[in-house]
Amino acid sequence: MAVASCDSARPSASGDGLRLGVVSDASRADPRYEPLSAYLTATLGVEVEFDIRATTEDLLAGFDRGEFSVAWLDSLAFVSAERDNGAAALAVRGVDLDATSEFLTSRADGQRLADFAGSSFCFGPRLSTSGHLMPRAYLAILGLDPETQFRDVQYSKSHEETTSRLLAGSADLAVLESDEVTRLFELGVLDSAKFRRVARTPPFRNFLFAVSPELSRSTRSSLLDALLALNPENANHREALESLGADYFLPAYSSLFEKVRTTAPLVLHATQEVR
Amino acid sequence: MEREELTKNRRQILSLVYKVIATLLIAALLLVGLVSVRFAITEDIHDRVEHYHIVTVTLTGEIADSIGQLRAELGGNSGQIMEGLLPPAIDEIGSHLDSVESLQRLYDLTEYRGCLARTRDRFEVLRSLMSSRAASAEALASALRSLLLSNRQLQLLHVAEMERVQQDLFASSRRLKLYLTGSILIVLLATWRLLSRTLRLLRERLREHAETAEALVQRERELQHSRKLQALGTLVGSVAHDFNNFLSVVLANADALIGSFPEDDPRKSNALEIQQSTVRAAELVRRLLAFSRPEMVEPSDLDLNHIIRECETLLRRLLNVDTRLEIEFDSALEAIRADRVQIEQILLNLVANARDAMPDGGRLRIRTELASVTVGSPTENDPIDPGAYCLLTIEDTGVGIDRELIDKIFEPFFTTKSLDHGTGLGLSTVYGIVTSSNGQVRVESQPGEGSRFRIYFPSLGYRVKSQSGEVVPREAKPASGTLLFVEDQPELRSLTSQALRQAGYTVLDASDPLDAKEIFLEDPGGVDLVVTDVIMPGLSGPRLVSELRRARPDLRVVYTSGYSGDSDQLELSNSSDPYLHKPFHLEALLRVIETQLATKDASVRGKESTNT
Repeated sequence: MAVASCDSARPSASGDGLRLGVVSDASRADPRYEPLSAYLTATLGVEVEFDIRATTEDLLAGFDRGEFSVAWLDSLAFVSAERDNGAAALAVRGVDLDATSEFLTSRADGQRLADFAGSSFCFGPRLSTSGHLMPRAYLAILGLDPETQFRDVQYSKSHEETTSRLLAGSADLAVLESDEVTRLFELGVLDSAKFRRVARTPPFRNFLFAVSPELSRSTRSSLLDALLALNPENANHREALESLGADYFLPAYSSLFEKVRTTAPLVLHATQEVR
Repeated sequence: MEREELTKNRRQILSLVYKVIATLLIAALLLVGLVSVRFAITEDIHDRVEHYHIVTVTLTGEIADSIGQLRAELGGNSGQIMEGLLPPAIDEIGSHLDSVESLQRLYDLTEYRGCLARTRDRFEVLRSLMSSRAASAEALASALRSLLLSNRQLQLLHVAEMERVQQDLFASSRRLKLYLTGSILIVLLATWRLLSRTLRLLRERLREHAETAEALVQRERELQHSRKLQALGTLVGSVAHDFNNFLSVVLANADALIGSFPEDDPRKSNALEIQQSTVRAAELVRRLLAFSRPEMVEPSDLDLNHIIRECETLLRRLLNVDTRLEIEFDSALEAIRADRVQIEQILLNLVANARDAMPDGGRLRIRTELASVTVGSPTENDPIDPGAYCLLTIEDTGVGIDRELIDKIFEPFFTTKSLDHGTGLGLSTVYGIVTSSNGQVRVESQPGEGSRFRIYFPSLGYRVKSQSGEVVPREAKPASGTLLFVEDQPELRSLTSQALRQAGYTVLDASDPLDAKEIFLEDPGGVDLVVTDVIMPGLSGPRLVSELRRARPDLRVVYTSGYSGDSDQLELSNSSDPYLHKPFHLEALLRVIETQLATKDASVRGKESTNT
């Protein structure tokens, strides 16, 4: 199935296949996405490949250029792509409807975020919903301006880097997606004796599959149906679901991300480029 | 013609009004139709989506409730299930699924097919497990979870689809709105253009209608005025007839008296004064008739020199003070046959034209001369027909006429002057008068060198008396022959008969046409010429002549006319016989009789010579 790209200025994706763009740091191996890739290939009847990008910026740029017609984006990146390229929401994981982020610290004192004045603080990537947008929005709800509240405000390039800084002590306080925090504690990466949760943001929409407006309607419907058919009760589907840490997929629609759309310009305008 | 124009205008105005109304109606219908279509299409899509939304949300919600109920029942009553007693919730789920599937087929929403099929499959798996009695609790729970997931996906799929449809609806509505707005604008623009054109035509027709109505009123006024003048002319004509008869008697008596007194008798001068006053009175009557009935043309034998002399004062007043008028008369000039008023008109028109050609003054020369034209000069483009003419030349030192305009100057309404200074009728009138007098006109001109108008009137062969303008014959011949004189006015009949006898004629006179006819038929061959009044009681002169000519086709006739009416003119216009207007000089009558008899004699001699 050819990638639908009607814009002659955009280089089309590989011939007759479907390419899915996704951000992954160098520590994650490509084979991670193979089960999902294999499942989709078998279900759709065309070669489905994952196009790995190092940063969200690269991912958005590739999406914009038409190098892939489907992208796995967080909600902040999605609203940007929706505004700039007309990208449409396709599907979310069950967990993405009520995602949260948690503030972690290595300090023994401090019960509330306001107690960490003068500390060093680390956000996730600037364009991350869970690592930056929603935590900053939550701090704003609490009346805390990170740039004046904390001694220094850091931005990591990935959740792994955030974890590293916290572990290295270069940040007294950091914020990570809740699922990631749970995984890190379960794996023992974060020692519960040394690190603790301080606060949790309100729920927000996190990741989703977004499609290019040039993808044909039939391909889009087939892809969505393939994702919805993934059943956690089916043992054969578990590996594919775990490629993206999903329990199951649900249909997504634009109004799910209204909160991110309205929050982003208000929260980010003074601090960085708003895409 | 104006009435027909008015009627035509009214029809056109009505037609335009209908057109305006029709245009407005059609435009209104189109606009209402377009707006209705827009709302109809939008409402149709909206209704369909809303119906599906309401129904499906209800159904999937109830399926979820039923699944929840089932889970609760299964959790507490697995034993019942194992006994094969299916809970009612299963049937409810099945029923709701049937409805959702029906809806999906009804609206042909293909996006739901896969999810709906999985939901159905998982439901069947669940029902099958529950019916089999051998399913474990864990299997049932897993089947329930799968079914719940599918139903949840169906619900969210519907919400996503609903959102997408509404966005498409909004977009198509915007497109439709743009399309309809554009269409409405086009309809409005087309309507405006059509209306403005129609209204412009309507304004023009209304204006034409008003102008035509005004012209009609003006024409009717003119017609009334013309009728008044016509009535006046009829009255004047009637008075003139009787008055001229009386003047004829006075003139005849004056002529007789003049002839009877010796030269040195002072009574002769009295008689001359009576004669001249009578002539002037007759002229006054003639001018009065000419004024009230301008279409009346009364050719008579005229002296051009005399007419020019009488007009000289008026002509000088017509010219600028800087213009010199020179008049040269040929004393040997002979008579011409034309209408006096028309000759005066020629002079006035040509002199006025010359004046306009000399705005800074100059010289105007009027000259008469006797001209004999033989074969046309080869140097002339339009030579004059050979013959004897009385030539009237009017030449000026004005601006002249361009060569390419010379052929057009006699055309009606042609003028080089502004509207306030010329109607373009002056020279065309001159041309008309000259040609109706059997004359010819030529013009020579060069720009900057003035113009010369030469008017050739055929000469009658008689010399004129320069002072009074009376026409006298060149040669007096002894009179002989028998005349039948018919005149109902007794004094005039008596005087004229007496004068004719004195001239040497044998005169048979009759007081009415019947009497004349009886006298003539006694000896048709014995009458050489008939002199008859035109209008007489019982029978007109021309009708009498017509009857006499049945017996004598070659009978010679002279008519006398008293200016009585159109019938008079019509009778005379159809006759080639000469006529004299009353009052006339006896000399004039004698001359005409002599001419007629001479013509008869020449034709007889011709026949005689042929016979011999």
